[in-house]
Amino acid sequence: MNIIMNKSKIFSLQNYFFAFLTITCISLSLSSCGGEGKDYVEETVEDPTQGIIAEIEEVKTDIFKINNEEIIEKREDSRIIATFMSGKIDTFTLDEISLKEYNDPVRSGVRTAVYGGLMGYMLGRRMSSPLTRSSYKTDKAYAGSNTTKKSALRSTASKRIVRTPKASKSGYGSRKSTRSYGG
Amino acid sequence: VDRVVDLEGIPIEEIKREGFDYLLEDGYLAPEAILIRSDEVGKFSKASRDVYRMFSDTLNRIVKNQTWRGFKIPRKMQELISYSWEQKHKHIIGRFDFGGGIDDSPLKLIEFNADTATMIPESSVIQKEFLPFYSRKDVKQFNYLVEELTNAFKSLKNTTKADFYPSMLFTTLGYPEDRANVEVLMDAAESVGFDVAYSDLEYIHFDEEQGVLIENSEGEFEKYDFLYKLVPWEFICFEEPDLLSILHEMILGKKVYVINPAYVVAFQSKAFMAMVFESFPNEEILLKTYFEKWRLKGKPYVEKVTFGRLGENIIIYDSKGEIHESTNGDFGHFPKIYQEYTKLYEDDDGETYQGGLYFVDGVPACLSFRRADKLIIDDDAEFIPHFVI
Repeated sequence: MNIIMNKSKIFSLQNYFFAFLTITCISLSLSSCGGEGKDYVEETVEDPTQGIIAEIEEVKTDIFKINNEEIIEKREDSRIIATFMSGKIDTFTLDEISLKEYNDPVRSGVRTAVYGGLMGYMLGRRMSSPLTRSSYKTDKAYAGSNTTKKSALRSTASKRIVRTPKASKSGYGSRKSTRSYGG
Repeated sequence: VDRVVDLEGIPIEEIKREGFDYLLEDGYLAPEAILIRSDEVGKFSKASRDVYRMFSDTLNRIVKNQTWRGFKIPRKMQELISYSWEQKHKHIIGRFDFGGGIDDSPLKLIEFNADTATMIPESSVIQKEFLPFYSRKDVKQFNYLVEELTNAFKSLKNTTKADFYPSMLFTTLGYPEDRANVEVLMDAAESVGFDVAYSDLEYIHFDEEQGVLIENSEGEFEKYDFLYKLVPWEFICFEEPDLLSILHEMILGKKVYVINPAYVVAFQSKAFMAMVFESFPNEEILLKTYFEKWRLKGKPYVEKVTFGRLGENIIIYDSKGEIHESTNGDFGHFPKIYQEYTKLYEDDDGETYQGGLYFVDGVPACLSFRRADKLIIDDDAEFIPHFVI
């Protein structure tokens, strides 16, 4: 990796990319040789095949909590119904919140809220990970999703095996911003 | 005598000017303040120094003897605690939460928010803005938080310059209020010459060889020698164990200097409070704290989880063992400890007050009070400014 500056030292993307590519190629090469799984992590991933209707409520500016989630037949019919503090109600599709919107605090807030709930499993969150209590407005809403609804969603999920290079070293704490971690 | 006084208002304009608008939501601030005598401030201040010495002595013994029983943390975390403690890495900021301390009621340590203490904007910059709203003009405030943070970062820069370039990346898990807290810290670090930047944790690249990197808008990767994380160490331990492994290598290899240092996870753990009490059973400031609930049978006591925060997963039992008050939360899976119940200061309306003392690089720096209409001070509690009379 090439050091360009020694202030906050800066590395060129190109060099970093080639370094990463080299490591990845070596890793993939070893994996394909059947190196006893030493160079990648293999896991079974479940993908929901059904859809979700999530009702969320703005509890502080741009902070939303889930009031209720219902399973529906088709994944593409999934919707988020957001009630704002002003009383306004808006509806979002999965596509509208699937990209991280750095400059849109509303969509970012909506995405953050539903990511901790059942809909998070459609946004890349592993179904083996637990639901986040603080994403829900009430214990009742959380309990309802965490038991029968999650089981139902999981029972119809498809399964695939993925291999993740061990060299992956970013993305920690992804989508954990539904609550404060201060004290 | 009720110590709570009415104010002419709250500094709305100043709060908006500083960009901390979220403080104005949910009735978090009220046009009221609590009066504290200067001798009481002295007791809070002395208590923080005394308790920090007890915590340090206890940790020193644990590190020396490598006795980690009771912590239930991974070996790599134990090694990081030992290393950062022996290397005397700087504990920049923590906050002790105390019960009592007003009207000569004894001060009792409730807990130490050693790792990711928040409420920094309202306790520092905003608390000062309440002063003009009180009719008496001869009052002061024990509030040197910004000044002591500045001193702490200056000292950090000077004592580490042989090994680390003064560039500091600040990170949180992305919650807006946590980011607001970090802004005050960033300003203090920048004022003494650190190059500062912010990134949510998920966008930071950790490279065991090169250190902590973030991608800038030109597609280049910038390296930062210091990482200030408002991300709890126990989160790294239990939710991102791969990150713990990388940080373990990077910290021991002097690729990065992490603040607050790893040893504060011990101070943060409620299990550690049981160990401190075992070491100092006759200290009045410490509440009786045990791993076994039977030891407090017949007395009111509080059940806490070892790594709880924001008043979550707490149960208060009365002397008959019946639940008096409780909170839910995200941390119920952690082991439990049992602490003697202590009474908080109560005003004439029956509302309770908990005093927080920010401790910055070994120096008592600022008082900060929270108020609730119940016994457990949780995320619903209000912030109440204090004035020293």
